[in-house]
Amino acid sequence: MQDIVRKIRIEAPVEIVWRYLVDAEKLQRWLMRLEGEIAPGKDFRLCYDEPVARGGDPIVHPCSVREMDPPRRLVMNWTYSGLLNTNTIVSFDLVADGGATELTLTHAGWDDVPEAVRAAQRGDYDGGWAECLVQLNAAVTEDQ
Amino acid sequence: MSQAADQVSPDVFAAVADPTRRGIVELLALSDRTAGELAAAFPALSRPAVAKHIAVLQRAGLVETHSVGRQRVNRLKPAGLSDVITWTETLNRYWDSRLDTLKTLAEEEARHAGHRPQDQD
Repeated sequence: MQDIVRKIRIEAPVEIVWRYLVDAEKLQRWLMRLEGEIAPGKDFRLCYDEPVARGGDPIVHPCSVREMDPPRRLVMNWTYSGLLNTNTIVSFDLVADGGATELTLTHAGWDDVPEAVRAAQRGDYDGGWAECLVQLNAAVTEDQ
Repeated sequence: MSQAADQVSPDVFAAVADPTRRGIVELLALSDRTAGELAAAFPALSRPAVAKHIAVLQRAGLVETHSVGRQRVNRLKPAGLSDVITWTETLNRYWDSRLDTLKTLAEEEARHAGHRPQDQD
């Protein structure tokens, strides 16, 4: 599966946007609750608390900082809680444009999923599988 | 704001992320098999360990078990992977939604701080 890439222009200086990437209070307002510290070489956890309201457990994503170049680039290892042993990589790249910020998010490392689908394709399936794979191809192609 | 994330069953991705479970999916893609037959294909693992992997796949909706005579046979449920199919789109929507919120918050803060480009010296 190809990388998820999203670009957005934010009418705020990179210094302000950067703090929303690393500051626990700000991060929680748009992404998730932070446990630990986002700093070079540090492990931290991003916690999705929504299930707690339904009596469930928070979904915890163990993460660590791969690269940190304030206020331009933050790269983190992001382990998807539901994806056993699957480590993905989330990168934020900030480029100043006057007083605004061009933010690019890249979420990479999804190779395991299509591999499983391709593995399944080698078998003898009914039309349901073929249809699924056509949809997968369409979805992945549309991304780019 | 969490709708997009909720549309994904994490179980499906957990199920296919593990190499043993991918192996089970591959075997079941070739033919239906009992738990014992699947366990025999993974000699390095204990039978209970393989049974746990099968249970994960069942909970994720990827595998179903039906009776053939006295045997319990596992087979793939092709529809189960449809969650994976829509996952890329879901993840795109998730990040778009999150980044929209980030944009709103950061821009609001910048306005309060008088950081608009035309206000800067």
